[in-house]
Amino acid sequence: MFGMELHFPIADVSVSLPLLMFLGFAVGVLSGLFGVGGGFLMTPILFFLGIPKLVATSTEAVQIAGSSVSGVLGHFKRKNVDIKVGCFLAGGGLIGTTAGVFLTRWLTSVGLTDFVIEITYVIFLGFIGTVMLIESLGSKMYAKAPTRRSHYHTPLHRLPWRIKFPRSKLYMSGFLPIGLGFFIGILTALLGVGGGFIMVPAMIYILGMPTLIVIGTSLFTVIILTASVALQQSIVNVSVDIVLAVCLMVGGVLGAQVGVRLSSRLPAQDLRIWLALIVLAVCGKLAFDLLVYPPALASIEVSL
Amino acid sequence: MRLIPLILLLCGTLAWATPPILLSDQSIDITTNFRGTEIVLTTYLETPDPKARLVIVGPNGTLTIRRKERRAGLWLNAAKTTLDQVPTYVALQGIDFQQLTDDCSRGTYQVYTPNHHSNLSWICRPGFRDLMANKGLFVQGGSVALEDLGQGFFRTTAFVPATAKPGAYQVWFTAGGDIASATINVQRAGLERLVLETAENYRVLYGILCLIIAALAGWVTNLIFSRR
Repeated sequence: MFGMELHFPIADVSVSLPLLMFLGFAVGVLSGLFGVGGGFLMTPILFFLGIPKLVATSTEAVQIAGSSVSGVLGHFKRKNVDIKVGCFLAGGGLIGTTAGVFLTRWLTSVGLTDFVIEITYVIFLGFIGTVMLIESLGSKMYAKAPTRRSHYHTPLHRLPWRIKFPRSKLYMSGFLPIGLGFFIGILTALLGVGGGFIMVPAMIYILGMPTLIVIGTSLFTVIILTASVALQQSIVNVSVDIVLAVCLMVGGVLGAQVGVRLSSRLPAQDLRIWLALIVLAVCGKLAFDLLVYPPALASIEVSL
Repeated sequence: MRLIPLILLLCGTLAWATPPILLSDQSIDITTNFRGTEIVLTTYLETPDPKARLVIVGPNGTLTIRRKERRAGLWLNAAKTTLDQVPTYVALQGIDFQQLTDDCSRGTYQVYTPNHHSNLSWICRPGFRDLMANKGLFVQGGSVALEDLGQGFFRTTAFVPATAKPGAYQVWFTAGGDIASATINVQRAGLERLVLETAENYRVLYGILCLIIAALAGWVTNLIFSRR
């Protein structure tokens, strides 16, 4: 299909190169347009192309690390990164990614990796798709919501081990960012996503960080978590395909630049409903394969 | 595209048949690139034989079929069938489907691969055949395409996809009542080989290299696009 099939050494599958670059580009446009990472769309697309699940999630971690480096540099220049909060998030995240990588290894040994990744994706995409849909339908309501203080405290902040985070003007328990990082770390290892979609709202609403520094701090954390997943998956499961990662990065980088330029001309907030529908469509396809009828009833594995 | 032509030696039994068929150590060329390996076989024939046969059998390995079953409303991998020590690639050219099924029902398919001891039985099991064909690891065609090079020389081409396992591939060519066989060594080449070997043998280095490449790509992107 589409000619120019390229064989990816670690994935051990041949995929049409133009098709792959086009899909990487398309997801890049969406991520630039809506300011989302795109991992939660690219990884399932890799599943649909026949890339083994574990190779797809591990390789996507490399791509996200690369595109986040590109994103975080600008935030560092503008000093919009709270490195202290980021380190606490990353600390919990490193434990989470290690747990996640060893979880995938154990799942592989009992032959359940594909199933667990698929079902977690159905839940994850179903959740974020629904949230996006509700948010985009009610975005006008949100616009009228009263502006709140740049940072605030909740009862959760009063857990033990309270620490000062000057950049975010917060005085909160260190367990809070560590716990959040741990949860995101597991998602990163299991799903091959940056987790920004969960982390950004959680940093605003649970940690109570000022919105201005949330994106930069989130990207800083994402780089450390995806790098940790990529390195550990290379060592434990040999599932990172660098050839695939480079192809995705080229398409994704160009797409993201087009998306960023489009976002200044198009009413991105009004288009957000389409992103929600795309996410729900991908979720629906995964659910259909799992619940109604799988694309292949039998598969063959060849080994020497 | 970088092509690495390799001229491989003919080992194994080589039927030094008197013409009409001739196969020499320089008559098989293999070329490996990212798509797979192309095997070009040049032979001397007195007359082109419409019943010519080209059979290629890959190295032995394990085939595992997993079937999905519906359990508690979910499609899960259930039954598993494993064949050990069987060829991981089989190409049958010049053997039409009717012939194959007839030979299977009579159990006479071993004639395709004389002096060969692997268990070829999966070529008679439609489940295995179809799944292997989907991966390009089972090829079956009614005739061998012989290209006339003049002066009695003919050329035919076979393709082993990159998904096939590397190792020794046995080739049989039958024409005009004679048979010649040869062994060729199919290996991964170029970047693909480098990536695979590094990933397998130097895991930490490979992981770090992947991250350096990703970080460089991100940094370069930032340099290019933030100046505009």
